[in-house]
Amino acid sequence: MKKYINIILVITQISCSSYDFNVDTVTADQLFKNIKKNTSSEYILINVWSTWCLPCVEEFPYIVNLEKQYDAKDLDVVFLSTDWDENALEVNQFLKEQNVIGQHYRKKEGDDENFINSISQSWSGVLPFTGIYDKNLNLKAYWEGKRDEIFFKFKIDSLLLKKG
Amino acid sequence: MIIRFMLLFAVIIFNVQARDLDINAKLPGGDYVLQNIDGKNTSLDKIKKANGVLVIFSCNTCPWVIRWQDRYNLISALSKKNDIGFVAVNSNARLHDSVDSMDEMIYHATANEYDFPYVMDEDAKLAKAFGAMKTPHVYLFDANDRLVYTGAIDDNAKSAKRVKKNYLMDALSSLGSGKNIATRKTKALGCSIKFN
Repeated sequence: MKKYINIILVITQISCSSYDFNVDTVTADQLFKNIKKNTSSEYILINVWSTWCLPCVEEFPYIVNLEKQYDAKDLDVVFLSTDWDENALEVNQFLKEQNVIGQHYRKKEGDDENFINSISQSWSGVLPFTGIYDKNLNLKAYWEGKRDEIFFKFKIDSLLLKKG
Repeated sequence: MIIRFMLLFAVIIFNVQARDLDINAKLPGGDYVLQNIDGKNTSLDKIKKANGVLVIFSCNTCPWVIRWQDRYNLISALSKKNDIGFVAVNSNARLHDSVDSMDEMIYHATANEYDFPYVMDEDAKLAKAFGAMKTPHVYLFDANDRLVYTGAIDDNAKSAKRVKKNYLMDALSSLGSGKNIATRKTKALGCSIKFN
């Protein structure tokens, strides 16, 4: 009997841990530090989104697909939510539903202007925002507003081709 | 190959859309017809007063607008005091037959006790002329129709009590009293304007 209980406990732990989702809240500086520490990809795509932003939610699956289509040495995808603290659970739930893999964060509340400029001086603050950075975190390309999967693929392929 | 050309075309289209107005830019679209929630047609030329005009691109549903709009009537009062016209513009053309319809705008303005014009920008013509991309986004023009402040209302959407930098209120007071505007351009997070 004890053996069966242990097996059930182990299964429960495994299933819980696979759904145990932790989304760190970060400033832009912390975000870049974490990416530097955790990523060795040639390019890093950062998608800034929010659960309440319809174009962000529509675009989201395209970007999830990108992560699956590229080798980790070529591209890493990082999702950065701008939801407020009261929406933290919705963020976790949405990421789970979308079967997101890899690292993802939520913006620490406040200091929005500094945050926007740290992500990109050219970004107006409109959501969604997607930037592709090289491994030294220099911004190579960016887009404000929703784009589709083919558009992103074309851009990423162009960057990878140039890199040779 | 066809897809590649289509993508290039899309990139070109994207790049030729109007750029966001720079400081000192002349007020565009002053004569564009805008339908107010009172049923009358108006325009920025009609709304502007002796010391200028303040335009806020806004809407009914954006969470950032919802959080910031408790300051709209204060902004309206300060504009009036400084003889500056004030208007909120709804340019969400794609939603003008649903959540941002005229009926919904009237309901939203009534529910939130707007005491200023709230107008529909059909086909988002005005937003396109401004190069505006998000809500809320503020543009303040002086008596000579020159842009003197653009960007955020203040530095805290969530709480008026916790505002440290009152960018727009300061700009309105400075403009009204003929003083230099200390901060002319700021940024904030916001919702995209839903163009057709």
